[in-house]
Amino acid sequence: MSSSKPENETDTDPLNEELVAYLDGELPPDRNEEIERRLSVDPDYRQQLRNLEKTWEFLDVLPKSEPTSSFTKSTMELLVSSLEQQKQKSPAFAWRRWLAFTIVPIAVLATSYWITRQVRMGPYNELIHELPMIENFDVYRKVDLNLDFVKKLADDSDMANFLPKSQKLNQSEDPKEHENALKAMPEDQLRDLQAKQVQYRDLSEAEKQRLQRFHQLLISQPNVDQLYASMRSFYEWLKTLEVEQQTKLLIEEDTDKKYIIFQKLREDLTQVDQLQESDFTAFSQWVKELAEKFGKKIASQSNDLARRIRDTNLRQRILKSFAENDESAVRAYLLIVQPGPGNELQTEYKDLKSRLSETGQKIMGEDPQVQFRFIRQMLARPQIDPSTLESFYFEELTPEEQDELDRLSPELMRKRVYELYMRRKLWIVPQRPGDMR
Amino acid sequence: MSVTDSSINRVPNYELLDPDVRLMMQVRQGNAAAYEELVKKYERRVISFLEHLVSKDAAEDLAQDVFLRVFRARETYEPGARFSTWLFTIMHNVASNAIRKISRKMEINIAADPTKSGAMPMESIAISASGQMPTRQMDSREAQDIVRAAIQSLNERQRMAVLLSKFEGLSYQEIADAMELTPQAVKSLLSRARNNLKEILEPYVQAGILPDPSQHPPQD
Repeated sequence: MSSSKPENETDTDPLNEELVAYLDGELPPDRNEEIERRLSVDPDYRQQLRNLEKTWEFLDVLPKSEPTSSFTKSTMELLVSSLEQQKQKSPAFAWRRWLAFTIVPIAVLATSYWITRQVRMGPYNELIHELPMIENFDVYRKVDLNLDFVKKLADDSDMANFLPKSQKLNQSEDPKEHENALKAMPEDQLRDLQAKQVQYRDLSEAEKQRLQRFHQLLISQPNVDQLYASMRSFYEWLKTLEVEQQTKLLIEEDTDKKYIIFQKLREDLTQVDQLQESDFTAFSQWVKELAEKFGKKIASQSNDLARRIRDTNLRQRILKSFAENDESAVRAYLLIVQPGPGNELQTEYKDLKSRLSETGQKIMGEDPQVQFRFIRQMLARPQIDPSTLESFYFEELTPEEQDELDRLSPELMRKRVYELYMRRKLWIVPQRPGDMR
Repeated sequence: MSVTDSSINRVPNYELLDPDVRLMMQVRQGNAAAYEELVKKYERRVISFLEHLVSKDAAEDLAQDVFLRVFRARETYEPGARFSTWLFTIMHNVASNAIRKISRKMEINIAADPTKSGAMPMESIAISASGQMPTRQMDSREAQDIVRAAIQSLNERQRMAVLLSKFEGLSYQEIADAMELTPQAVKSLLSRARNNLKEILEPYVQAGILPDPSQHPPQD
């Protein structure tokens, strides 16, 4: 027996809302009576109620999960371990292991001791105990907790040429010293640290333990200061890269390959940094002229072009831009079309080259592959006007995205909006967005 | 179970009404045994919930994360609601973060390998519902898979509201507190969610393929 009426119901039907609330016992008595009156005279409405009821009841087939028998014990141990880490150095490993094999009451006693202690320490407790981790977890993550890579960086004699600054690692494990450091900290620095604390809290316990192990490994190195300075400089340098360039480097796991990519990027960027303002202006002008010349033609091939993009979301965005804007279409085209027989812009590449400064001409070279990379780099280094970013934020982001961004520190928020703009408007897409935070 | 009582207009004293709030207050004072008792008491519900909301594989790890956050938040804990409502607020945050991370990973996998389809299991189930509907009655595992896929096909907020309402028996007000919404928004969220579930599950209901719930009383 089927009823056609429920099929036509819209998602926001207020009558339906009332019916669901009636089933949930959430209506006031007068509304309840009204629903019941209607149910007594309207068979379709009754059918609708039955269908809602039946499908709701079917959810009961789902089984209730049984936690593993050691869940409580391992949770208590995890808690002890997490508290312990704030205080103990790695030699406590044996102690932790011993704990793992003792019964819960011992864990409870230890926890009780720590809880009492923690409660007394007040609101800065976490910050005090985890100061080195909160200060550095993002730096550690950017080198992928790869000490070999850090050693390679430290051995690199050229590093000194672009070291933005060097800082010393806080190696102390003494909460008192952490507390003093925090007290002496300027207010804005403290605020930044608290923002990082929020991010740190969001990491999984496993990740925190991995970071902690890396920290211990790092401070056990004889040349810890040199390693830390290199790592910190690398981190600062990484921040100056565009998302795509960062991603390229961060996703490589093999130490040697990672280092080669790093050298290549550094070389490329040093070159691009040598470009003059007139080169960027010439490039923008060149894109504009291409748009007048080829924009419509390229846009008419938009489906074929976009098919070359595997990422569905990116494809959608590019198609939308093809439809809306000739200059965007050209930018997308420059991004997609590799040099080769099908690339009709070879002559245009030459034209661009002729407009550049001597350095620009040298960097652009003769090889079409190098030229293609040069153009992509130019596309990836747009100077975006803050007002453009602002209207992008207000007009094109969803309220949920805005909420998420509002929770970040101003610096991080600007960076994230910039990244989003790059992704959505200019199609510079990180391949592993999780790493870009 | 509803806790509404129209005769009480002032804010209820949850410390008096809810034994778990009292336990949590002891945790706040530094009582580890009270904390352990809370973990034991809620572990099953939290894991079940996260299993349905996120995934079976991740549920226990996430549940530990939830309990650790309960501990970390003890200093700021104020008994302004039932303990379970507060716990579900934390759970909601943990689950939302996990879902975001998973969907980011899925995006990357799909981008990296176009042959991998990101299709939800519900899609294949929906096809069989319209085309090759099996005529026999399904066994409970298959029925569970269908229901699980139907729940997974809801968006995160609808899924959360459904789980809190159906399996935790929370009132609209309590769901609203846990999800930081108004009760009216919860009403409309649940209405949309239940309609979506109806649309997906109705073909199975009408074809008599899903086991009759009246013959299979809910498992506890």
